[in-house]
Amino acid sequence: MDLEKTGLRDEELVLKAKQGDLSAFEELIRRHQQGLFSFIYRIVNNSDAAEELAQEAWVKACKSLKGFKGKSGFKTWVYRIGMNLAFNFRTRTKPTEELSELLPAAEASQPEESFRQKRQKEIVSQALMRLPVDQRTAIVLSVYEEMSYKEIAEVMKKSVRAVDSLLVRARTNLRQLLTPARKKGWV
Amino acid sequence: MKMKKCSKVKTLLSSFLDGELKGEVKVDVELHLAQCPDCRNELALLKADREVLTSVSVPELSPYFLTKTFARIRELKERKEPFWTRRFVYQAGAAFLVLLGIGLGIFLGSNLATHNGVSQEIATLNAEPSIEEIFAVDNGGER
Repeated sequence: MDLEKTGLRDEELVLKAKQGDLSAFEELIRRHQQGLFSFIYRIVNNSDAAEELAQEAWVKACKSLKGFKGKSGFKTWVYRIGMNLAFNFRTRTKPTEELSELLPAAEASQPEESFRQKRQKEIVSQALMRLPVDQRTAIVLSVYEEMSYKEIAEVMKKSVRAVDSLLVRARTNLRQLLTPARKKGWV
Repeated sequence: MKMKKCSKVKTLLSSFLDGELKGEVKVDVELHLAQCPDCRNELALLKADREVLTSVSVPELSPYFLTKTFARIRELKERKEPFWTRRFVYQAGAAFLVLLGIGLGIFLGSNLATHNGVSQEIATLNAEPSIEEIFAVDNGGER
């Protein structure tokens, strides 16, 4: 790790990377690798695929770096690359199962609380997967990546108003999806 | 200030929760919430939904991810630059021009020396008496 690079802003690292400094690009990967992987994982719900797609996104970003003009932030730009790869992956793979089929059976060996937490996580995860992919993307970027509406708009190539609308619909749909589990006390 | 209706405020609660409202609109919503338990309850539900979402964790990224990714990028860079790269062509071209210049210089220089040698021979020949002159002298001073 090049300690000199850790204090530089993304824009400065991008400039150095464009001039051929690979260690600058390495620092960019180091900064955003977990976030990008998490984002892709929440879209495709498969850790092996998410890791493969994240790696592909970084390779593509490196190839296209000379064309990056800096109109958006580097993070939103590379997230957009990851998002497109994740969307393409989803269209190539089969859709997820129905929510009711995936509720885990009680395991006698597990303590009640940890089982309840595990069940809640699976229910919420599956509810997220049942959202339309654009609503899911918007909610993931907002809740987990804590992006502003403007940043989300840059990633998704939509207007801020469209992002707002997506998030309202996503939250409404999530509420509906989680209501049955809530009534049973699972969430 | 006219209070916003609940139906309008509820459409704004999502962006209010995300900290996206500014200025007068934000103040209007805050004022409405202070006086409307129904909308306050709706906001509380939105917050609870968000907290439930954050309970979903993701797997840890492989510790070798950076190494593997960077190895791919290095390989890509090396594959992109075979020896007959543009830089190599420019450098080879520059070297060729330098050699050409040196060769031309040597050629011109040797030609110049040869020309001077020929001129000297001609000058020397011109200085000597011609055959006619030699015969004329011999005839003049007949033996």
